[in-house]
Amino acid sequence: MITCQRFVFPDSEFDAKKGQGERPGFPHCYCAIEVFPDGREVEHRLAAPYPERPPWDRGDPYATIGFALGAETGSMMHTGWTLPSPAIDLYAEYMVLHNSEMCRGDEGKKPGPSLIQACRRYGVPTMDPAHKEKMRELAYTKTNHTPGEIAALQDYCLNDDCRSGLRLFQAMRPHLDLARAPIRGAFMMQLEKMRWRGMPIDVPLYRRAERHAAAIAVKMRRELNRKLGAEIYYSGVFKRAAMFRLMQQRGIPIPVDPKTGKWSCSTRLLKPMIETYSEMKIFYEDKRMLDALTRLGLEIGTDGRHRTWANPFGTKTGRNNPSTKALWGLPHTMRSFLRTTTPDMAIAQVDVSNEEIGIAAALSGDPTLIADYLSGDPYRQFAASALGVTSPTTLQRQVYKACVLGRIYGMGASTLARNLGISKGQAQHILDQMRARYPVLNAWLDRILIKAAHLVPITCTLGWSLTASGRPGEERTFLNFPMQANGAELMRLVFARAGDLPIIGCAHDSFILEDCADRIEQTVWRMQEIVRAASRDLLDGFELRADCKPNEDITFYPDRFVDKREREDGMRHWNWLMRLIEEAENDESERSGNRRRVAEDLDEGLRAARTEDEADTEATQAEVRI
Amino acid sequence: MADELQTSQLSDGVDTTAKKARGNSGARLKADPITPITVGEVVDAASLAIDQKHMEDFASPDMEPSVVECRRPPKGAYFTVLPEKAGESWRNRAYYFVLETEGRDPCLVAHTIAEAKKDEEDTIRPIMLVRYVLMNGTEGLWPIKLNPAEGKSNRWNTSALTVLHVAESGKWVRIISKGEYRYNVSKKTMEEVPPKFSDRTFQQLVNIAFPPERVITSFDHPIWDELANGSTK
Repeated sequence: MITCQRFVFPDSEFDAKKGQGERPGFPHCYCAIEVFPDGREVEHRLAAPYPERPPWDRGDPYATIGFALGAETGSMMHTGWTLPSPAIDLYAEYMVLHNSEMCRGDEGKKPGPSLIQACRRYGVPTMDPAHKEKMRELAYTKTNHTPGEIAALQDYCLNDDCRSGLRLFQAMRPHLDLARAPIRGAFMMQLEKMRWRGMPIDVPLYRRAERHAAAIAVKMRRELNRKLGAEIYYSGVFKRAAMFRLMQQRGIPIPVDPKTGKWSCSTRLLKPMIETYSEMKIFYEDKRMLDALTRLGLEIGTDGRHRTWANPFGTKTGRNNPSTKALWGLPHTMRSFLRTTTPDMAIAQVDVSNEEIGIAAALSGDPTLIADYLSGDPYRQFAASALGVTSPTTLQRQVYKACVLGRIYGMGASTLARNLGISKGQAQHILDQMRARYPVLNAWLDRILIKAAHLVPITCTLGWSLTASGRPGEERTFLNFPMQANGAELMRLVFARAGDLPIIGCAHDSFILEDCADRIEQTVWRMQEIVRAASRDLLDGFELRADCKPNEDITFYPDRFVDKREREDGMRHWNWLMRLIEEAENDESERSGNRRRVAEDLDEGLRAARTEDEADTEATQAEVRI
Repeated sequence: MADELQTSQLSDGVDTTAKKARGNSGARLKADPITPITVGEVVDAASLAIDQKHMEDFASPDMEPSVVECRRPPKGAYFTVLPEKAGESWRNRAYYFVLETEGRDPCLVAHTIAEAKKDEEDTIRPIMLVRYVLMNGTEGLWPIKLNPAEGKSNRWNTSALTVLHVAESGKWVRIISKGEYRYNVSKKTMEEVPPKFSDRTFQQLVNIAFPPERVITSFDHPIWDELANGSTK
């Protein structure tokens, strides 16, 4: 713990370059209000050229407090200042404090607030949105501001943004968890550093895919119809009725959407069935590719790097919730657009293996589950024990994996039976086997539900919490909540401790790093150590595995990143996509060749006609002359 | 001009007129003084992590099963019982009359009714109900049949009492049925696996195991008509 005598409320004005995949612009001004315990304030107004370190950084501890500190991180990266610590991000704290109320609506979780919205929520006087918009326009649309304009931006920065932040802090202070807030503050700034770095993309190839997306989608739909032997796409439109008919004909159970109570063939509900029904696997994978193709829109900067907002705390479990236009929001096949474009560079993926099971084992204290997790493959251990074999097959392992994960997700015998294509009795038997093998885990899951049913917060290791609303059907959320939400807490702590480790991306349970080829293994090792230590700290000494297989998970220039599932699938979908791009290009060149020929023919015809016309005209004129 | 844009200016923080801001938020409000704060650090995460045992908060009252079985401890499961102090009233065991018929859950019979019916009914017999607990915390009531006061004793009844005496001496035991009740004693001690008896009283357990319709306290109970005239159920 650290005691701070001074507080600094910083803010900067710059062009955020939203949606462009670019780094944020150079700060036009950087201002801060420094507050002392006796109430004295010092207003700092800075503009380029910036000093080597901020004037309020005088060596003694001070707390940096702001709303969405990630925005200030870009300015600090430009000025070369060290990221401040401890730092409290009021946006992050708002999300922690109001998670449950933001999840109450029918439309899913509400988006995070703006500074003005947060101030209004706490009854704090704040700026006029129209004025903010005007100032933003001034910051976004110009780079060569006059001194007068810079001064106007500084006034706005200090008197509106910094001061609103100060007032908001005073209003929120009684509710803040000051002990853990700096971890979230550091996370928010590190997340912005990740965006600053960006992901290197094979831009020429990506642009080819983007350019021909429509043509590729047409062919994909046609091929999918052929693979399934049914016209589930008709004139480019997906026909659910045709899909339901196909499933009925093949004896495939149709899932019912728990929210609507109606039949559904959403990829979310079909995913657990893909290992059982080959048609569903084809449909699931191709449909996801098709859906992604129709909305391709990666934000890529002029430096060829992909940058997007991770939307931290964007889900009820506190996981990030990036848009579907983020690379990691695309099907795993398309992650191979990630490719380091600089010689001597490498990309690595560090994966927190079986994160949810590991967290469940640690928190429940189930000795058998702990032993199974530590064996390296908990699902294999369970399958071997349940079936009385030493080496279960891949399919057997898959069945018992579905059972363990299903139980954690609150799945009953009916759903498990549907997903695995077995009878309800068999599914119940497997669930009973799981209950018998992991009695402590099951009792712990039951206790979570009991606590949630009392409408009191279920709080995770660093304070993220969710309270049930009392609506029916919330059980699944709460069964899974401790695993997902503590996984998110782990990710935040890892980020907060990452320092200068070159993280360029993250998924739920994995981190993507980019570094020099001769240093990448050392970087991976450091990352693994951070993940292990963070898990020990949060899970009462229990260590989660951080895997990175050098031969598979590290990619050197000029190779491209390949997701594990795509690799196991023999790059089938990637190769398919490449073939379709080439075909689309060939078709296009053929069409343009035809057009050229037609144009040439037309030109020739016109020339001939013109010659005849000219001859006629000349003859006529001659006649006239006569 | 650039120098003029680089300033660090002392402000009183409360002035609403002399230093009126050029921004549109207008005059500054008087801010409450901010006292020094102590905050956590990233390196402190281990000590800051919230203990997840709070999941147990609501577990105890609701986690007690609503069913208490009146049957011999299940085969293969180690159990133990609480000893009773000599010279004091029993707290976790008691004698009852029980009426048992084929295909029907046993019923408790009031002492006066049992006495009145003892000559005409062979379905009523005295038992000792003993509270037991399994290693996993499941509680139950063990009905131990008693040897008749006169006549030959039964090997099963006698051996059951032997197992009871071993269990109440502070051991985890397991019943094995081989011509009589034999037993295994677990190597796990009470210190290693402490028995998890609930806070419920013995009488509460009996009330759960024998709901009112299975406690016969009068001659009007339908069981008597069933025994006298039969039933199609």
